Amino acid sequence: MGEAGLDFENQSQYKGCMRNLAQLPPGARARIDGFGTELRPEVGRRLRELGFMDGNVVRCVRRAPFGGPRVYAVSGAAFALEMNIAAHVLLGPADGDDGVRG
Amino acid sequence: MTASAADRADVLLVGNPNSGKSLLFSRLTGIAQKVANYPGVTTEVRSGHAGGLVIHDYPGIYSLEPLTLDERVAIERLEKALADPGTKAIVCVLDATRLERSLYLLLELLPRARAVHVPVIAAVNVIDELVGPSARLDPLGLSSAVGCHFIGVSAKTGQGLDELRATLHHLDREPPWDERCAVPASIEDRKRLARRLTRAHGPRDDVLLKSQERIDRVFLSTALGLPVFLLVMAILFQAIFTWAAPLMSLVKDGVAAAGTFVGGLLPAGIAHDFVQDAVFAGIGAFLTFVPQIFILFLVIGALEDSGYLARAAVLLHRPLGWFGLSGRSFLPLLSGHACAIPAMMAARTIESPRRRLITVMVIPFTSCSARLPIYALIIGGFIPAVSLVKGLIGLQGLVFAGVYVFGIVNALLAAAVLDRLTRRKLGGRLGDAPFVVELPPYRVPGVKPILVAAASRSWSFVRRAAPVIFAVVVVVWALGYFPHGSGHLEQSWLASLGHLLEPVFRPMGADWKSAVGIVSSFVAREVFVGTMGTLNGLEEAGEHLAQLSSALQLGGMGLASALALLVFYATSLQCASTLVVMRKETGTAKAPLLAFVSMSTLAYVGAVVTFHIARALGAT
Ligand SMILES: Nc1nc2c(ncn2[C@@H]2O[C@H](COP(=O)(O)OP(=O)(O)OP(=O)(O)O)[C@@H](O)[C@H]2O)c(=O)[nH]1
Ligand SMILES: [Mg+2]
Repeated sequence: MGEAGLDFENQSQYKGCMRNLAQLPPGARARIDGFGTELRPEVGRRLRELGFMDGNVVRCVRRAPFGGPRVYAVSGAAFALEMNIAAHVLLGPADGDDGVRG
Repeated sequence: MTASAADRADVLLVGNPNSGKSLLFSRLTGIAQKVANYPGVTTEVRSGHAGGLVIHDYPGIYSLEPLTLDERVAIERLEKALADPGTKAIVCVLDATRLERSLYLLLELLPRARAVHVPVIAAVNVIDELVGPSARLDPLGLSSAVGCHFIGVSAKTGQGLDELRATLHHLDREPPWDERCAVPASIEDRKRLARRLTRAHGPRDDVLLKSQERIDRVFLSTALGLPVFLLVMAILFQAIFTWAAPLMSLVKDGVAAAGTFVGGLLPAGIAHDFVQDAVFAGIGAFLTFVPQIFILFLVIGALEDSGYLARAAVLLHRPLGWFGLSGRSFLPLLSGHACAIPAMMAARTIESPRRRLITVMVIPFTSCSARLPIYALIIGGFIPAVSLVKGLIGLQGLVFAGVYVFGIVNALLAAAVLDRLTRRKLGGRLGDAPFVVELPPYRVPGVKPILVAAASRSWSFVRRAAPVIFAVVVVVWALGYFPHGSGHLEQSWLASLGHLLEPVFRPMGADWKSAVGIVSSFVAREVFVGTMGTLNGLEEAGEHLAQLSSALQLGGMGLASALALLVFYATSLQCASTLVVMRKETGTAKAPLLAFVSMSTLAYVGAVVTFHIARALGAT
């Protein structure tokens, strides 16, 4: 149910492996590079339909208090995404991902 | 209209959530459809006539693959409509300020519609907000690139609606689509095409998105987000109590004046007594509280229009998660304070079926507007009107807020219990969709639209409640009037009945009259005030009507009994329609049964405990 382990930045299982959207700090941009394998296909599909798809640049706008959902700007719209979903969206190598505020 | 499928002309309004379909529907049909600046307001297809066409307003969808229940409702209906020869056209409503995202659905829909020869019109809505140097919209360019009609419209100002109507009426004379414009099949290619089209023909820069981010810095801030939320809620509940006061005394005086006037016209006798005691004392007592309901709808309406509610959903997603709820549960719980029925339907947008079930079941704990008259009656009559903090807050207002908080806390605790109970059984079985909420732009609420909407919602509440109250009041009055007439309430049939009921309610400090009030309100809780008003009228026997609350005090009700009654009504589920809708929304009779039995039990036990605690603390 995703109740556990929402604080991804502190989770050893995520450290060292490829960066994911949940680790993108507010203000930073990155290019999306696929989805984690555990993500249910219909959820992956919806994320792609909303613009979270390979090659698109996403910007993390801000985080909500209490480790809640984060706001991402993509495809000209802003979406709040729960962290346990964002963690399955993988990010490619740094690309304009230098902490520029936008 | 009686038309066969062949010459019936259905027009479907589909599009992304919050693109303005419902406002457009209201414009075209003249039917007041619920509109709010929150994605996922419409959860059911609604239909209306407009100049020979039947317009259907659909719940918002992001694509043709549903994730939530409201989307499933829309897509199932859409599939059916596509196969129906009566479907004349689909109007795909796009949001000009979110063009790239809006175009995606159009591109997914087009091939499906073309396959069954249903023409699609793209209505690019919200063009009134395209201002400034980066504003641009080129409908002709889009039309020739995509191969369907693009019309710039504003459901708010009415701009472009004539063109839309004309296009709809003359559709068959034009070639419906352009076969040369092929639409790509993969999601990625459609997304890329949407971006290319936006870059070529749409707004040049996202000014709105940037300004909305600036405001979010406050409303979604880590430090200020929660305090601001609490402040907004405090204003909401304080407003109901303080702002409504002048309106309430106006209605009260109006009803009293009308009662005196009409009473003077009728000769003494049974007709006179009936009009005085049942109509004016009963229904009038209820009407006095309608202004508060109006203010409640007004403030909620302003909030809904502002765009803040989606932020509140994001802010509260984690905290509500601790109770087994979702951020998406916030709007249903908030609208539960107006009425539980639309609130339960609003829960359809909740991404997790289990959290949705829990939300639907705990909504009746929130203090709906039908409880408001009872709270106001008891608080107005028994809580002293002293002011605290240099007149800034009144004690009555504080107790009032306290009752609302009590309802919210009850809802959260009940949710936590249900979460525990259902985790094992349903946790794995019901697949959860992700929590994804689009943040709509902030808008300054329009004064006139929210006034009109609040008035029409209040009116429909009165229209629904009044006949029920009237029917119950007539029965109560007749039982209380006979056999000895007005002024002999203690010797009436009703008194005998009341004395039979009294022992059941004695432990919570209620006398036989309150017992009658409580029992009569199992039909609908707002009946209570009407019943008490009628009993008061019968007792006063045509003298000048005392205010109902002071009559209750004179009748011997003490503070302890009053508080017990308050707790009882804040907790009990006395609304037949809520039970019916809960059954429908959960798909099982077990849910309303469990809710009814447990809430009634809790209400009774809570009232008894309150009575005894208040007594022990020295209240009479
Ligand atoms: N400025 C402006 N605002 C609009 C226009 N059309 C709709 N709105 C606002 O946009 C918000 C959403 O409108 P709705 O009609 O509820 O949208 P909807 O598409 O029915 O949304 P769902 O039912 O949630 O799918 C409301 O706050 C409307 O007042 C428009 O043309 N201009
Ligand atoms: Mg709608």
